[in-house]
Amino acid sequence: MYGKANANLKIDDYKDYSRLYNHKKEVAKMLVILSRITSNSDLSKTRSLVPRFIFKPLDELISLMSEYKNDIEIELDSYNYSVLTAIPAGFKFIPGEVISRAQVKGYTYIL
Amino acid sequence: MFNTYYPFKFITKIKPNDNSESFTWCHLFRFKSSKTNQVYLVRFEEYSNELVAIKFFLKNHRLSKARYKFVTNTNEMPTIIRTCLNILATFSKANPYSSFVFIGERSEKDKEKLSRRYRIYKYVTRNFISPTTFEHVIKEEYNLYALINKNHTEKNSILNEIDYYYSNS
Repeated sequence: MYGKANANLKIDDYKDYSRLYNHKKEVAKMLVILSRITSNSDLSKTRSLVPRFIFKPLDELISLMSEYKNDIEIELDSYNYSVLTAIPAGFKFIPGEVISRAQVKGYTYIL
Repeated sequence: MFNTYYPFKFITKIKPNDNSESFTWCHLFRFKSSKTNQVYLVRFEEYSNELVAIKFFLKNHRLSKARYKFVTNTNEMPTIIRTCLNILATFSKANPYSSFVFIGERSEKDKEKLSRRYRIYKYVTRNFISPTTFEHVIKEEYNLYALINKNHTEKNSILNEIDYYYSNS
């Protein structure tokens, strides 16, 4: 973990749980994208099986954490981008969903 | 965000001018921003143990002593840094045993312990340089990030060298 306060981020730190309900649909969409990306073998190879993705806005990631806090690890950087560093093997692919709002970007190692 | 970059050119290899410069060779690269039409110079200064310090600055600032500290306000930081990373990748392929080091120089407005540049470099390097090829070493007291080549046998010498140079600078 690294970030502005150099503190571990825990979902319990976020008291406003009401907004999680509003974002549930978006979170479901993001999980679909995630599962699509993790099933991409090329990306898995380039990222040494530990893919990283950047999410924004932050709210969506917080929602994601609340539902899957036992399964995924989260890093926050200093610029309000959120980087998901580890993805569990058990993610299922749900076909037919379309992402509209979430921005997902995966970097690949150049060296 | 860091996906765009400019084409770059190798210009020349420079010998140190006098005793004040302790590198053995400096490899000079250049690239031009198509957004601002400004030319950037990138110096890869080679020290012993194949340690290379990476420095870049605007060509317009080359004669200033504070050339690494200026904030250009051109809003193209990701492209510039990505171009420097691409130069690093090219250099590393030609010199497979090289280790790299860079410092996030403080600007005048930096008030936190870790400089803004250092925090950006750290973020970018972690995302683009694989830990299987390089060991990522950070020395936050100097705002320094080092990529120690895992193929190099003298890892401890490199770390000592970094400590020596930056504790005396």
